[in-house]
Amino acid sequence: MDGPVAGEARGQNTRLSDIVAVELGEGLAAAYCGRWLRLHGATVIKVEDATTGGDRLRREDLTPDGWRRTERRSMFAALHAGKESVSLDYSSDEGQSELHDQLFRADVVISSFTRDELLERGLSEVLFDLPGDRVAVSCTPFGLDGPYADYQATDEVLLAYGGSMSTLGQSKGPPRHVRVPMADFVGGVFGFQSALLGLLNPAAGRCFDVSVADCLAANLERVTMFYSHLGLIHLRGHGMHRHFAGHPGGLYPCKDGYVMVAMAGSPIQMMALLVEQPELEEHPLFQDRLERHRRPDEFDELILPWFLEHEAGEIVTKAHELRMPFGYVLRPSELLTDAQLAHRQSLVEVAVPGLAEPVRMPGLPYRYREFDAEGVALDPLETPG
Amino acid sequence: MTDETVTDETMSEEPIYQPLAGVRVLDLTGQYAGSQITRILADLGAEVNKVEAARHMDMVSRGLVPTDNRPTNHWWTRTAYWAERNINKRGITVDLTTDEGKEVFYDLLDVSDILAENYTPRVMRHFGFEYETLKARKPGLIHISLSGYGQEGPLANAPANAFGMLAAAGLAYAMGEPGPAPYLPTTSLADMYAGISAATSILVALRRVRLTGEGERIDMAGREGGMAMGSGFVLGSQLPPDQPGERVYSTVILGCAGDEEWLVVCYRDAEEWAQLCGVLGIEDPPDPPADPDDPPEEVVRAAAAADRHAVAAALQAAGVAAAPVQTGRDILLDPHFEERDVYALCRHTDPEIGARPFGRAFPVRVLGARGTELRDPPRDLGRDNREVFREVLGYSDERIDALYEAGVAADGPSTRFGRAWATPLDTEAMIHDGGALPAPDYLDVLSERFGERVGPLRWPEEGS
Repeated sequence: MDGPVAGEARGQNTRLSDIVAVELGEGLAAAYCGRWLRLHGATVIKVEDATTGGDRLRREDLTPDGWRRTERRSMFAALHAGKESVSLDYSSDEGQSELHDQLFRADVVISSFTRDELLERGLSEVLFDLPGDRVAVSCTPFGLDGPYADYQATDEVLLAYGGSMSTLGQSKGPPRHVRVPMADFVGGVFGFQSALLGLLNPAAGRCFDVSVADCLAANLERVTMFYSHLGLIHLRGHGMHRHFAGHPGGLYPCKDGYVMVAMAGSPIQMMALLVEQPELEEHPLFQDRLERHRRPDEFDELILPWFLEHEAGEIVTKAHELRMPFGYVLRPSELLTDAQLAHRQSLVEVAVPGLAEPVRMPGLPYRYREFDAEGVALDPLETPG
Repeated sequence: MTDETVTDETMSEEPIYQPLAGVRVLDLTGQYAGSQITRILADLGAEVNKVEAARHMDMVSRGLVPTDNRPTNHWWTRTAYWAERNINKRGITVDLTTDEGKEVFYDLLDVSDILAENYTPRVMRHFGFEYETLKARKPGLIHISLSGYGQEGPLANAPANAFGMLAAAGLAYAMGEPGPAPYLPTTSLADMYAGISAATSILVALRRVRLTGEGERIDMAGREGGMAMGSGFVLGSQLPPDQPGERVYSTVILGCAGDEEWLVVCYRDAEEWAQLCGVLGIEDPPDPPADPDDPPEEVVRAAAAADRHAVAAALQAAGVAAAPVQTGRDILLDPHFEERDVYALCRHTDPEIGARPFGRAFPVRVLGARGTELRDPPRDLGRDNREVFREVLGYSDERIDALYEAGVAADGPSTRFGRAWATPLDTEAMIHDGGALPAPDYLDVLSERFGERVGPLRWPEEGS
């Protein structure tokens, strides 16, 4: 697909501009679901509870060491950009009337309320009995039923229950926690998937109960497979990586940082060519895969000096020329100036209150190449109306 | 459903959730992310015809993790990776490098709604399968390409794999400790969510095709799937570093009784910290630690004697966010996931593999339906050739035989693979280095959990 792009190339589009979605509650998974609907051009109305001061992300924000109480609202701005805002009191007649007006306006209703919260707001009978072909998507930490349905959740708790945390950390050390939300994104994407399925084929089903923990647990590459097919409890760190993926592989230091070394089927002779020592092909550690596996440090001593003399850009470019799938090891801040992402216009701008310049967030990871010329407005969500 | 399989779902009264029944997919994907796209579509009821060639198999999937770590000569259909990636798909072989193979490809394209592939862009060009050519032949086609970095730009033709994409998505640094060093998790998160995200793009395109009749070209960048998941990292990198304000909650991870028994607790305040101490039997709780990564010694000692599941349940009953750090074993035995039917058995037709549990690729409960079905086990190479060629394409037996004679179709791998076995993992070394723990009673434990025999009905003979 070289040459001019037929349609737009940004991380947003107008494919669902005929859809109206109402987003109830304040869960991150529901917010991600609503965000992806908005990035496809849907009208998304975020309904906030007037009696609590609105979404908690108006008072809590992400920082490098976790969530803190602050009015900065960067995550709120990022997740809700382009959405419309409605604020109501669920306990009042006026609020219920407004709520029902919104629900009847919607093609898709997203809810982050747990079963108790649905009951409290008079929604337990309503959400899954919307008239016509309206689609209802509940996105909650553990789903609307099951033993953990009422459990308290954070991203860390979900990653722990869902199995991902057991893969994070060093071998023979404790698992680690990641300080920004990842689990809820997964629930949000499955929520979006559910909404689309409901729109596509409402007769097959139009009421969905998305559990973030279920989505994590069902999509664990290798982790459950190791138990069911090998009788091993899969853990983490170098002790797993090396023995699964073989050697060499992983993060290697270089002159100006790190590169991700990946062979993925490339003959080991390619490594000898990469490090400009073709004679290494005859070395016993290049000849014998198992021996290389048993003596990884000795093998690395053969190649590391070359890595340390070269910059990441040189190494990865040369590896790609040799069809070795090496990767750049980028800091999140480096994504902002990445030439490939700039070419694809992958980041979308979002205004954050108090910041002079808009921040950039990953947009949709895919592009539709046909028939789309318009972008989507991602104006900040203002004070609830 | 084939006559070879029986699934749990056949016993229930509600209909199986198959919203994509009637959708046909021409599947050229392989490895992890690409196969994830079509696994989701297949679970949702689409007819997925996965194309390989005897000389160009999906080697990453077919070569990884021999079932029960036993080598057999029939290795290409006996790996766990292959099984997980390819449930519910049909398997055919067509050598697309030949003129006859290209004819079969176009015939399949004519009767398919979706073409999915995860090559770098140069490969489809090499085949002569540029989108414009395909669109001219079939205007309503949805063609999705999932490559590492997208179809255009300076990295468009760069080779990519799971961890390369993860690192290039910023996740290696983002998941490291605060400080200078990057870090890799042991599962390929970018790959996984690339496949899941790509599947959503197809659903959007299907809706458009139904509304307008117009086809769609989708360009999915695998690393951007990882970036989307790590949106918070990208956002955080642009914010001023000095952000005052008290923590909403603090996270402590404690080792509990037993090997690899960890507990995570997210306490909001001193009261919840005291509840943790109380559950651990500490009568005079110390103050919450200034650094949650360095909890007081008496709390560490008390936790080391405690049952992580019991502590987490007690804290949750008191309204404190807590969880055991669950492993693959824990998840398969977890009562919540059992009640919500997240995992189900798929019964392999090979008695040396037997029934095994797999996650549902669309793990969402649907009101009024049973959820998706693990109806067909993963296929042997070329298993569905004759059925697809005859019933889908209308080929005569003579034409099918000619495809076999020309080597375009085949029922086994090319001799270029020799009698090589999928390499068993060095599990002893893995265990020694802390990458895994042994669980030799796994088949008995799983048989009890799923209420029927899990595992082989007979063990393979060495080298059979």
